Amino acid sequence: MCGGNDVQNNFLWLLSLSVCVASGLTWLASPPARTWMQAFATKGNLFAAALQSELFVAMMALSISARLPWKTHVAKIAQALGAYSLLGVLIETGHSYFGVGRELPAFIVLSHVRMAAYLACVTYWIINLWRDERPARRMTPQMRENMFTLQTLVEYDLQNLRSRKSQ
Amino acid sequence: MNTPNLYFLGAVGVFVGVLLLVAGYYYLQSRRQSAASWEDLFAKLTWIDRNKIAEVALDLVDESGGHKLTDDAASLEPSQIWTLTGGLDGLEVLERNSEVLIDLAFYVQQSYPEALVIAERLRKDATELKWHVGRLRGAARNGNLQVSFPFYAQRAVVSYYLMTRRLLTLYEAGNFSMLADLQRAL
Repeated sequence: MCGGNDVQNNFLWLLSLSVCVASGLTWLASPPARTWMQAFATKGNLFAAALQSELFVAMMALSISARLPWKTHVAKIAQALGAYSLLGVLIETGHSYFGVGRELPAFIVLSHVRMAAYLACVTYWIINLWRDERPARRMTPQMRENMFTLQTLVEYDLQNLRSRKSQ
Repeated sequence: MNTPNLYFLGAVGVFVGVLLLVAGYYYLQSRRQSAASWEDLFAKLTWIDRNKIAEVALDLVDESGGHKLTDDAASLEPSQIWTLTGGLDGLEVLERNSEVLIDLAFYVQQSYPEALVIAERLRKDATELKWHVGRLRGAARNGNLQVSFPFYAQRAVVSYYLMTRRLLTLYEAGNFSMLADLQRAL
């Protein structure tokens, strides 16, 4: 993926692809369930976990392609959430394969894994948000004014470019 | 294990594997971007005769990027534009350099997060440049390169020229020590 691409169009394309892939996985799953409601809930959870993990990876890829900083506090929150969502896919796969119910040993184990993963993420967030971000240098008022003017021009030009590309 | 479950587990395995590969690839790329020194980035620039670029660009626009309204605007002959730009190969060099210019803006942005808009602007200019070069590649495939070249090539060069001016302005405003090297290259 090249940095010169229009990020908005790529994001919309990736969003559509993510929904299709998550739907495909959900369609393949056949969870052992006592009621249709339980099967629906299990499939719904799998769909949500798959979609969340796909969107995390898509967001990561696009932000790195667009050269957005990937070491800020916001990025740290996203990283742990992304890792948790990837693990969530595996856990929901386990639910879809083994079934859901407190009487099932596999369900108990998977619940404990989920809890441990969440605690690990919270610990990661606490440590990283406690640390200071890389200090930013301040711009002069003149530089800031130039940036503001440029921002307005970029937004205007981008609209023109999108309309031209859609022709 | 029945066949539907086997398909399901296989699909999940492929799905998670692909996501991990993509995430790993981009994570490594972000580390490379952050760790790259200014000299590394600068070394990626292919040398281009800036006077020729300026001559082609300033035939169509003024220094600030506005369209020239004088009588001598757009007066270069197609053959001159071809010679000055180096044909389609020359424009492909500009296309590659445009990515390096964005990286050089990103380098400044790491110290000045507010400079994000410069990188955005350069990315927008690079998109225009690629769009024009893409049109020329299409024309080359259809055998219409000679007809289309002057129009698209000159606009591609304008995009590149404005990118270089904006990057130099950013380095000047930030009073960066690398400005002299950049001025020589661009």
